[in-house]
Amino acid sequence: MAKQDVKKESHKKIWIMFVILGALFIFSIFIAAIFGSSENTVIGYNTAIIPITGEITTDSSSGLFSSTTTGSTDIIALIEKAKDDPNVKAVIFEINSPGGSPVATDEISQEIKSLHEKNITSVAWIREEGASGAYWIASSTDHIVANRMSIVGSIGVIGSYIEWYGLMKDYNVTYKRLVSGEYKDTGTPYRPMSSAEEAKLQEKLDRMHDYFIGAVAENRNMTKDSVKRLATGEIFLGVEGKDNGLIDELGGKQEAIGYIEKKLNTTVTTKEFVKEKSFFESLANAMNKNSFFIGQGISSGLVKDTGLKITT
Amino acid sequence: MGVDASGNVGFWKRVFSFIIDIMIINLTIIYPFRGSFTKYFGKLTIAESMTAADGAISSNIYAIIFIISLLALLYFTFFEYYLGQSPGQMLLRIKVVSINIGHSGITFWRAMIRNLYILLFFPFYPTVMIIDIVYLAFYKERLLEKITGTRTVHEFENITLKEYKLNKV
Repeated sequence: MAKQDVKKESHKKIWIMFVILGALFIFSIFIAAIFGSSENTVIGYNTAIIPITGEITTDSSSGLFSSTTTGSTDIIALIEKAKDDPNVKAVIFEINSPGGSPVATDEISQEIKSLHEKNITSVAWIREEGASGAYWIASSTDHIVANRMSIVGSIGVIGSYIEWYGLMKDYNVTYKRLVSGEYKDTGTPYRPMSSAEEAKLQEKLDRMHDYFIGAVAENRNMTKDSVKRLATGEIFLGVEGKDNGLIDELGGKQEAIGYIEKKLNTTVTTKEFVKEKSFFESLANAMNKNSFFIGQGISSGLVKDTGLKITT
Repeated sequence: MGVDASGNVGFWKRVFSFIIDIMIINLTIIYPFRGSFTKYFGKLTIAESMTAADGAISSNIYAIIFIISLLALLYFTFFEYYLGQSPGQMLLRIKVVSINIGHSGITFWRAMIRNLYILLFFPFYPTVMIIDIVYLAFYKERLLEKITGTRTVHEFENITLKEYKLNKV
């Protein structure tokens, strides 16, 4: 065999070798990503981490590319799971939510308080935001940790909406009112709200606000008046929240774990409690993550900053 | 590191090539799973988690071990099928051949079966491995090589891939 042929074959062998190794490597990364996105199995854990992200609703909804809301049904099921698990001595609620439904919030809040029956310590770890209903939930725990720049508070109730009747009038679209019961269609955007309706709605919002204030006052061992002063709907930075008693400690996950370790006098091993996903959901999640990072890589190379962007 | 009359490779040379291959497998196949290992085993070692109080290794741990074993099996199968030798064997200048025709290659299924011992997940794995090693010590070939009609021999001469493919049985 000619020397040149041997050299050519040698190059071909090396090429095939890299193709096989590359294919196996990529396949391994892909499979590992699937396991990375599925529910973990940690042996020897004693602390559950339950994430509460996005808008809080009674039922969660998932989009093609991400889960858009957190459902109280799911969170309650996860808390129940933690309560039934003899390994779990503490629960960390990883909160990153602007709030949501008052009912869903109250349901989660009550369920968190029931952890005391099982002598389980609860800690809220607020990340970007733990505002409004999410703060209500956080206040139900034994200890609140937030970053100095996290958004907390926003103790208030909002029921604002857009009224379309002006636009409809411009296009000669009319609203035919057919109700039995004077207030049946209160809040419809197709006609102006009457002052009586507005007063009634405002009364309900105020009552909800009062429940919210009462709950926070009870949970945080504060007087109702002191909470009322903070309950203007204003958002506070974590550092401000610490000063006015809305949170207990500035920090992150380590501080949350530190509190539990100190309280229970044990070393904490955490396990994330999340809604179980099927294999196909995990596969889709892995694909979403990979696609997102690929897309992010491409777009960051193409797009330059064109508007206001607050970054640290 | 002797060579017997038939050209079969000795025990230690096989071991060294296997160690090289395991190092490559560690980098290409096992390394991407490092996050999963940390996640699933927590602060415990693999040995500790195997004897954990709850008595059961999770299905996920089983699945990861199985997938890694399967990929390792594919590693040896692909290399031995396409090139007649794994990278480790390549470095030690040994290769896999069929006993039917001198320097011919082997079929995909033969390549897979002769490397089945890699599948740690198989419940009969320890038995297969022990028999394979004992057989190798006595007969200078592994039992699975005997079954599949293949040999691991020294690379005495250079042949082209084209020739290798043409002679594949």
